[in-house]
Amino acid sequence: MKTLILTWVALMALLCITALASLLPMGPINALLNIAIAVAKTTLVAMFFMHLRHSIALPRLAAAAALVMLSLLFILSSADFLTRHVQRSAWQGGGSHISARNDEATGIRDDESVHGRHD
Amino acid sequence: MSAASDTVDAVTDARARIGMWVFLASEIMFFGPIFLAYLYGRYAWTDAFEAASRSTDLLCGTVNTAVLLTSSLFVAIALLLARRGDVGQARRALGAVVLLGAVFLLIKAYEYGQDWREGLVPGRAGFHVEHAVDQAAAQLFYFVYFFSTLLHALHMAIGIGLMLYCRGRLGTRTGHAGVRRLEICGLYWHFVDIVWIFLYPALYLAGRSS
Repeated sequence: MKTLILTWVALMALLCITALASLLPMGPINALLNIAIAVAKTTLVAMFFMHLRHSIALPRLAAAAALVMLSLLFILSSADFLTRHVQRSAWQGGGSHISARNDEATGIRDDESVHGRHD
Repeated sequence: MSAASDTVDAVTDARARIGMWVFLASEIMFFGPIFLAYLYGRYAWTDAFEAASRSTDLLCGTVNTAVLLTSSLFVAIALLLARRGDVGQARRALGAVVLLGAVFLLIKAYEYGQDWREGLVPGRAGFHVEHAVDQAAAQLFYFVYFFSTLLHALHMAIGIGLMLYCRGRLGTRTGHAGVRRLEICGLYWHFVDIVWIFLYPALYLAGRSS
């Protein structure tokens, strides 16, 4: 019982830190801190509330396999999205800001902010 | 209870646990792509996504996170009490879980009402996010927002149903089966909690200070 309540106190403290820190302008550190705290909270919940701490290897393996598959999904999909130019098909047309981000003739993004990250 | 039936119980427990963990692993595949869509949007239309994220209700989101984390605590406490054989207290703890789950859904519904009035529903005429130059990209953020929170709310509703079921079936008559059921349904509840732990910074905290 005591362990569970201490876990909850830690979760609440992390929630306060992440909420307050996100109000301070720290540039890219904001996003990193938010992700780190989300991972920390998940670890606490999984270890203490979901009893992964005292579990046999098989459930841990299932959890780890899921994370490995998820990172494959993220890495391989990102490799596509971040390195290929988005080609507009005929039916997409113009009009909205989103499709206007791709250059009409070549399909190369012409937006400054996106361009900067591309190079 | 004899040693033999204890062993049978332990084996069944382990099987049920593994089954649930494999199911949860498949659920991660279900929620994961939404986060991928969010990350891509945030990379491609950073300013619009951050402006849209700023227009969500930070207080509602933070309170809801606290409510969910607390409900997870009560699920864990209920399981501990049920294992000790204190069925009455365990049922009371589960009552608190159901109550907190309902509070979460009510706050979320209030937020949806706000979004509707403030013109933050994508695809609806009059959609407008303040300080967002690219309104079309801001609509994409709100598409991700509504899809992910509605999917999460659906899971919450199922979770509340499961908790009510566990609470009803928890008794001296059902014995260890009731405790096992509570443990397995509890894993599901904690998982839904973890999904929210990641949705919260993504939807409510991104670009808050910029």
